[in-house]
Amino acid sequence: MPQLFKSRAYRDRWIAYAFLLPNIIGFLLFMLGPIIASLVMSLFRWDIFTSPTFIDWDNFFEIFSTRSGFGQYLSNTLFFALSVPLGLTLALGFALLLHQPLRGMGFFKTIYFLPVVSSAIAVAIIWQWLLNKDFGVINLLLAKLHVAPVDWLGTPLMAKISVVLMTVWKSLGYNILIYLAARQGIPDELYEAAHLDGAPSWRRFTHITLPLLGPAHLFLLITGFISSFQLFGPIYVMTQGGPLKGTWSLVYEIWWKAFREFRMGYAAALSWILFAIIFVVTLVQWRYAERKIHYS
Amino acid sequence: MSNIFTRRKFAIYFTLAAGSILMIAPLYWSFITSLKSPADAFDGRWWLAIEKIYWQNYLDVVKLLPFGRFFLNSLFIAISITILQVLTSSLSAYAFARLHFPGRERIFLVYLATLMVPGQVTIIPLYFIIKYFGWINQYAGVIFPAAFTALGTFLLRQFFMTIPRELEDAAAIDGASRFAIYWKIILPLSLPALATLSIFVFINAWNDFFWPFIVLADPQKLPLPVGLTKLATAHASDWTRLMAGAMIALLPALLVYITFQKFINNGIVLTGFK
Repeated sequence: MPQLFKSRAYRDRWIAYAFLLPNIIGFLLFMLGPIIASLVMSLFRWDIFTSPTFIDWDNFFEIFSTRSGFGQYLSNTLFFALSVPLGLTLALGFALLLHQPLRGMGFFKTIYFLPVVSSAIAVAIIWQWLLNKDFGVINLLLAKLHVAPVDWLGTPLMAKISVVLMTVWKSLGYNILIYLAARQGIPDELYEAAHLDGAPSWRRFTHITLPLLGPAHLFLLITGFISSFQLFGPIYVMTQGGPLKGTWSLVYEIWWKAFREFRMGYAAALSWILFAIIFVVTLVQWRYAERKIHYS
Repeated sequence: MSNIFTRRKFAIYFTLAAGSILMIAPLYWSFITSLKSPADAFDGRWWLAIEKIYWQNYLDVVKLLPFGRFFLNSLFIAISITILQVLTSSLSAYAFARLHFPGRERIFLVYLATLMVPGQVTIIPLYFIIKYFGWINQYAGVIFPAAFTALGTFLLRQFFMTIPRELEDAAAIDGASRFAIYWKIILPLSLPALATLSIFVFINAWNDFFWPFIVLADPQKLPLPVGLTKLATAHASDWTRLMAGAMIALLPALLVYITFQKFINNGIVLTGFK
C-alpha cells in the first residue's frame, strides 16, 4: 500500500508540473527573471552600445546627489498622490448616497464607472481639450462666471493640479464601487441599535460607517497610491513632463533615462527606488491601519 | 413626515445627478466636438443640429493615420492576450488549488509577492529579453509578456477552491484523467469567473499603453492608444479630428463594459481587480 501510494503521488506530481508549465515558463521569463536582472543591472553602467561596466552603488549615489533632479521628481510624484485622499473623500460621499434604497441607482453607477473603463490616453487627450487655455470648455464656463481664463497646463503648479483633477475623475467610479460593496456589508442592526440609543446621524457616521469601512479605506489607499505613483500615459500626452519639468514624475524619469538617454543601469536603479518607496508607503499604511481597522 | 422624506429624496437625486453630469460632461463634450466641423470647433455649443453633423472628422482620422488598422491591431492583441492569459492561468490555478506537489505553497507565495512589484521594475530587462527573441516591433513582443500573470492565477485559484471536491472525486472514480476533470468539470463550472477575468483582461489589454508604446514602432502594428498619441503629436490642435480619434479608442471598451456590466461589477467587488 505505501508503495502504491508513493508511485501515485509521484505521478500526480508530474501531472501538476505539466499544468503549471505554461504559466511558469512565462512567469520566470517575463516576471521573476526581469525582476532579478533589474536588480543586477542597477549596479552597472550600461548604454546598450558598449558592454556593461560594474560600478557598484554609483548609480544610487548619483540618484541621491543634488543635481539628479530626483528630489523634484519625487515631490511631483507625491503631489499626484493627492488625488487619492481627494478622490476617496468624494467617492465615499457618493457611495453613501448610492447606498440609499432608491430607484435608478444602477443607472448612476454605470455613469460614474464609464471613465474607469476608458483608455487613459483617450481620456488625457479629451482633458487636454477641456483644459485648453483659449477654447477649452472649462475656461468658457469660467468666462460666463466672469473668471479670468486659467492656463491649466501652462504653469508647473496648475499642470500638476490638472493631472490630479483628471485622475480623480477617472478613478472615482472604481472607488465608489468598492466603498459601496463595503457599505453593503455593514449590518443594518448596528444602525437600528444606534438609532434607538439616540445617536444622531453624524455620530452614526463617525462611529459606525467610517470605522467599519476600514478594510475598504486601506485597500483603496494602497491601490490608489500605487497607481498614482505609476502614472505615465496621461503625463506623456498632456504635458510631456513639463512645463519646467513640473509634471516630470519618477516613472517619467525612468522611461526617459532608459529609452531616451539609454542609461539602462541608472534607470534600473531608479526603478528599484520607486519600488522601495511603494513598498514603504504600503507597509506604513498597512501597519497604521492594523491598529485601527475592525475586520468583522 | 412624508414631506421630509421627499425633500431628502430630492436632495439625494439632485446630488447624484449633478455628479453624473460632471462625470459624463467631458465624454459628451468630446463626442460633440468630434461631430463638429473644424470651423465650428470653438463655438462653445453643447448641441448640434442633425444636418450640421460632420462625419468627415472620422473619415479624415482614418486617412491621416491607419486608424482602421490600429483598431484591428488592438482587437488582435487584446483577444490574443485574453485567450492566452485565461488558458495558462486556469491551468496553473488548477494545479495550485487541487494538485499536490512539493513546494506548492512556497511557489504560490512567490507568485503573490511579485504582484507588488511595479511594472517599471521589469520593463528594462524585459525589453532586452524581447529583443533577444527578435520580438521588438512584433505583436509577439506585446502579447507574450502580458499573457502570463500571477493575478489571473490567484483569482482563478480562489474560485476553484470553492468548487466542491465531490464532483471531481466521482469523475476520478470513473477513470477520468486530471486534464479531463479540469476541462470537462472545472472549466464549465467556472464560467462566471472565467467570463469576469476575460472581460477584465480584455479591457486592460485594450487600454494598455506603456508596454506597446515601448515595443512597437511600425505604424502598421500600433494598437489604438499608441496610435492616438501619434495623432496627438502630429495634429496637436486639430481638435475635432483628435476627438474623433479618441472616440474610436473609447467606444469599444465602453460598449464591452455596458454589455457585460454585471460580470464586471461582481468581479471588482470580489477581487478588487482593476
